Amino acid sequence: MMRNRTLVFTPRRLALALFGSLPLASGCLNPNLVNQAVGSFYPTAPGNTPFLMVQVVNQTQARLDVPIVYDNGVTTPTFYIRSLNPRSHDTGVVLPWPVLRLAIGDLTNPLAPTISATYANGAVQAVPFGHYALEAGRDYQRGDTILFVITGNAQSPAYLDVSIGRIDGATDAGATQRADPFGVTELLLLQNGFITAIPLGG
Amino acid sequence: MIRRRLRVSAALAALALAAGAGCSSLNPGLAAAVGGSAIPLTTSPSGVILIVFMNLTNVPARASLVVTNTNGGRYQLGLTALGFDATNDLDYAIAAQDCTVGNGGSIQSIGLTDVTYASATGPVVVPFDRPALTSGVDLNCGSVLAVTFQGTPPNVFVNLTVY
Repeated sequence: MMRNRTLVFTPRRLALALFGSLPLASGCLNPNLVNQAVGSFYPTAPGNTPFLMVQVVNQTQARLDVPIVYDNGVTTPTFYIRSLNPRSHDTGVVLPWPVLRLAIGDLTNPLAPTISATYANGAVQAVPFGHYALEAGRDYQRGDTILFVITGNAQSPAYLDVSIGRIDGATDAGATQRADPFGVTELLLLQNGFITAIPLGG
Repeated sequence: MIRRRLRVSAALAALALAAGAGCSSLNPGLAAAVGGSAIPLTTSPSGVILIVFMNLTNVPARASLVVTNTNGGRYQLGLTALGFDATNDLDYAIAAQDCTVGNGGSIQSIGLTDVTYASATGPVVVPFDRPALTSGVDLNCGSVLAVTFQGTPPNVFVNLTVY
């Protein structure tokens, strides 16, 4: 005997459906998301080497000047990314560890207008990073990659949004199959006397 | 009835735990985005070409490179490093270029144009008159371009090696 069943959205079922869709909504299963780090033939993070990689992705229609500032415990050097146009899309810097804090423009003032955007019509706009400085141990670890993805703001064409993504170096390390540029770089620096020894465990 | 409620509660708790723990609970190759939900990209990261500028001289120097993409994009890259000093990490600089540059583009070539160093009379440009390195011929994803600047000014030279 067949039973006719009607799907009724009781509050409990609705809650189940919502919870079930959370991982999908957060992008875990979408390959076009920033934290995807699987299936690559090359490492996308420094992994076991004593570096932190910082990449800037320009998803706007403007040409960007982006100062990457970090605190190495002694000084706060700045690495300038200049004239990153939309077609060039992205570039990055590999910073020597330790990197205690990391930000765009200003380590203490997230509202300082430090990102310069030049639009096709010649208009120049300075926009703030809009986030507090990232901190080692809390937001990233040695061997990770941090991505600053800069996008246009739908509500205001004169404003830009910075989103931050992280590729976990620990999980990315096993993906290396064809080449390990970070390992080669570490050996090059060691050979030329820029670093004195490969740290234990790295 | 009580057993059914327990089952539902357990299922809810498991899902909440999975959601709270982030993507890594579902796939160990994924990591949580910092400060919010994950970010959509036009191209997911696929690997990098690293450019390492090592300054073995005793003066600050800057290496200038041009990165050309298959989509027509062109980007001038400057790497600045202080004079060689074993006590800090500011005497070398490393840039990373993603192998893919969005919308199906990729790196076409990377060329070193010159190295400029500081002197008492102003900046001195040391040109590097070699053709750009071409992807698929001289370069591949995962390559390392090592630019070494050495000597004692004004007797300096630039060396470019691909690993």
